[in-house]
Amino acid sequence: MPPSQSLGEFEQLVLLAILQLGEDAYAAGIRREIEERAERSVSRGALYATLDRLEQKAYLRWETEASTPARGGIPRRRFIVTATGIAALRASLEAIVRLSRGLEALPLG
Amino acid sequence: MPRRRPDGPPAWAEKILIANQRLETRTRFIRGDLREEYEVRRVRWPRFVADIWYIAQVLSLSLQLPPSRWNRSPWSLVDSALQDLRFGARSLRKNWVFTATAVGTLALGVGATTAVFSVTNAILFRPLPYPDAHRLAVIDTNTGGPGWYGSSQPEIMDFRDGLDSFESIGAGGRTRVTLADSTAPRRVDVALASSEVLPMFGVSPAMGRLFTAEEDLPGASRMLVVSHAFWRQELGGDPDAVGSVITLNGSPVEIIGVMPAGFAFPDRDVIGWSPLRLDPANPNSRANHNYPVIGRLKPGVSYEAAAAELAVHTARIREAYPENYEVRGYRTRLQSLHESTTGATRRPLLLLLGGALLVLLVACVNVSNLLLARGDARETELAVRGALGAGRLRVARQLLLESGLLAVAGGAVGVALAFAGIRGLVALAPPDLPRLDQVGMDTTAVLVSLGLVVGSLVLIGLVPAFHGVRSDLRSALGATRGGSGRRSKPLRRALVVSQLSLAGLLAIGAGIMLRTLSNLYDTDLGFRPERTLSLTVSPAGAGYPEDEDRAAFYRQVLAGIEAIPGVEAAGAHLQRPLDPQSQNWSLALEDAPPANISEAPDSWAQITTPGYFEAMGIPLLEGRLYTEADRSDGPPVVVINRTMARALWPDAPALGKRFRVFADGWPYMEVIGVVADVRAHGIDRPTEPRFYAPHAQAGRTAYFTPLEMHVTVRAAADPTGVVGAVRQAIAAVDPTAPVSDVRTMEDRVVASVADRRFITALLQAFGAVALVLAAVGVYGVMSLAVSDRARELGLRRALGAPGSSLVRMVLRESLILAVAGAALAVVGGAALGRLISGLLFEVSPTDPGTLLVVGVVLAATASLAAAIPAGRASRVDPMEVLRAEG
Repeated sequence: MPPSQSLGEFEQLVLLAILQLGEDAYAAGIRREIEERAERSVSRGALYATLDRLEQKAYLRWETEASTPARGGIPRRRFIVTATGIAALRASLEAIVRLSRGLEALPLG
Repeated sequence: MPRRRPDGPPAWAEKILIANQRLETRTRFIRGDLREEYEVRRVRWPRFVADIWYIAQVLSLSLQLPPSRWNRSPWSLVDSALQDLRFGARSLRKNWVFTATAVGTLALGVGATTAVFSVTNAILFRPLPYPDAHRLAVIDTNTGGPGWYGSSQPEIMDFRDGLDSFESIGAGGRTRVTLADSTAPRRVDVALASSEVLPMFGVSPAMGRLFTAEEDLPGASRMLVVSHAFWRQELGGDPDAVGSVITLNGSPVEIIGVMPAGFAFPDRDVIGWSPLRLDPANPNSRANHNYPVIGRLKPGVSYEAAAAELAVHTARIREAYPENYEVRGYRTRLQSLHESTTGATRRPLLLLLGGALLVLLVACVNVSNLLLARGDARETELAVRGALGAGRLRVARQLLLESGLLAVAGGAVGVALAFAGIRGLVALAPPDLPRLDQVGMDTTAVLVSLGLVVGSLVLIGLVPAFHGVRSDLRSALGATRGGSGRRSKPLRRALVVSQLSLAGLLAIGAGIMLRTLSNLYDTDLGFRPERTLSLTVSPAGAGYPEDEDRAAFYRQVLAGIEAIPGVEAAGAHLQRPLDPQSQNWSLALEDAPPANISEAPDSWAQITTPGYFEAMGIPLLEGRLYTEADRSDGPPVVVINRTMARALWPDAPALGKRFRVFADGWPYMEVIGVVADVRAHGIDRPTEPRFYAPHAQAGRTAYFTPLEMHVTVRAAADPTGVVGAVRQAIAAVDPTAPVSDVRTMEDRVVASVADRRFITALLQAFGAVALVLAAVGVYGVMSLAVSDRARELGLRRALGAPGSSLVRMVLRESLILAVAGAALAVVGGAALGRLISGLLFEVSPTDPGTLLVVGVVLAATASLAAAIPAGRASRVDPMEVLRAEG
């Protein structure tokens, strides 16, 4: 299924962060990953809202995992990027690459 | 002690999360995520910080998640409230200057009040930590002379026989002893107590036992019940400490018990309690008022009843012993132990509490003013919302929620400030403040100050709601040009005047306290504290059995000290100026022998070596000082102070007169010199009769030759430079003699007014904060007035009024506010002055100089705050105004 909508910048960051984390993609880790690697602050509300949106678009899904003592018995979610999600991410990243072709001399630094 | 809360973040905050997103399964996971991060922070930070973090996360999450997240039907009220909250948060963020000012202002008020109230509550209001503490009472006595003091042994026996209101009556005392230690012997305080005293508190020892009535008799072996702190620090918390032996004053003393932590009677400086060991079969003199008396009332007996019984008893005893009491009188006073412990600090602390409350008031007024100004500025917005169908309730709720947000933010920052403030207060507080160890953050204090803040915000937050919704759209929109906020202008001005007056009141308080301090520092002490060092030497009694040994010890020590380069003079003395004084003795004059002790004059006794007068800098007025030549075998001599000379021989020269202590068989001493008065009892206390007997003769003329003495050293330069050499000189004569309490006399002078300095510093801080807040208020009102009248000002300019006249106009208005505020402050100041008159020294509570300065400061503050709007007024461009009019 071709991606129905293009991805927003923050959505890209979230998907990339989940892929980077692999088996350890929990909400707190995703937030940390974006804050550390992308060097931008992530508001908790924005992250949760984006995760929900991405799930509705079927770009990601989550699995319930057993709780840890620190969570007071509440289970946690591990996020996984779906095949659709990867396709959408690839499409949107490729669009960026295509569009930036020929601009290598741009003084980006 | 706060109750222990179960682990995990505050439950109510979690509930907000659950309630908001009730049916959403996802919420559970979010809750779990937050909880996990909370746990990490709880380990790293104090729990309350983690709690605040958690609450902030919940609130920000509630605000950030889009409305579609929230479940609809039963929660639509919550939903719309959250919309309002989101809206409010956004608008507060947009107006961040307003928000920061309001939150900062509230935080200052809440922080100051909470901190001061926490301290006050712990010291003044909370009951003492003993069961039935309200039944513990102290009996003070006065048989002439100033102040209240303890009782004599026969008087205590009379109390026990004659008073029916008491379950038990005990006597106490306090002594300073040398504790032998593996490293160096040092001086410690031990409380003496008759066998009734400790059981009276209803506190059982943590270990071991208390002493019995038989062990409280002369001849019983020495024993000690130690404090919990001593057990932990000096005995290493040894579980077998009971039965072990320590060495006090060179003698073995058995430890029979350990009191629980928190037992601190008479204060936390004593290391333990030892039997007083009075002999009931052989009581000492009725005139020796050596023993503080404490009693426990019978259950159900009121203070009034006990005090009435005590008054009757006292009158009966006064009749029974005329030779003691006929001339000098006999008065007693009953106080609860709580009152007796905290009484002296009551007024100062209440004063500070009042000051902090004033700051909170000023803060509330300030925020109210800000909110009013904002409400006026938003009249148009509110009118539009009303026109679009928002009901009055909805608008009111919106405004209330905004106020609530401000209150919560201000309160949170305020509580954090209060934590720092309490620590600061405890660190700054005069060390003799009682119960300082019991001071901590107080939940009541937080609730009360938050309640005040929220209450005032709710009241004020609603004012624009009524204006806003009532105002019809057309006039609101049409009014934008002409000016806004007509309606609340008088209210705002009244608020600013009240702010200025409250700030002025605090400034008056700080001002007269500053005058008091400066008067205290300027007082002629009668001695010269600069460049002098004073310390205490306490040789062991066993090494100096005879008077002659003691005199020789100090002769050698002082000769050694005077040989140190840079030392100008040195002297030893029994009592030190500004310390608590003892030894008020009855005397017999040769030319007017008293018939009984009640008729005998009294005077404070001081015993010194000849070098004392020069070392302390006490000038000789008449005659001569005693010298090394006045030895024990020479004719007995004495030096008196001017007050004593005037009191006893008002019409004749005192030199050559003779008197002796009021006891048979003691020789007359001849007055050979008169010295200046020394403010021995405190800088602010009147001087009293005092005589100086030479140490070398004291055993013959003044009951005893003291072994523990203070040594005062006058140096040519900085006295702290000779401390090492002085210690060496003492050790050279007796290496085992403990040297303690080494401080300069200047330090002691400053420390003696520590309580007033504390109050003054806080009042200054409060006054400064209140002035800044008042300035913000004046600025707000004046700048609004200027923008309101931009049109009028522009027209005036167009008609040729110079800019300076417009500046004058604005300044005149702000000065009117300042004058009104100052007038109110002066009225309040008169009332305040009466409240603190006990703390003042040689300054009137309505000191005209202070009032004048405060008036000038208020006027200057108001003018400064009005300067910016005034400048703007002078620069109004007439053309712009006229164009806008078209």
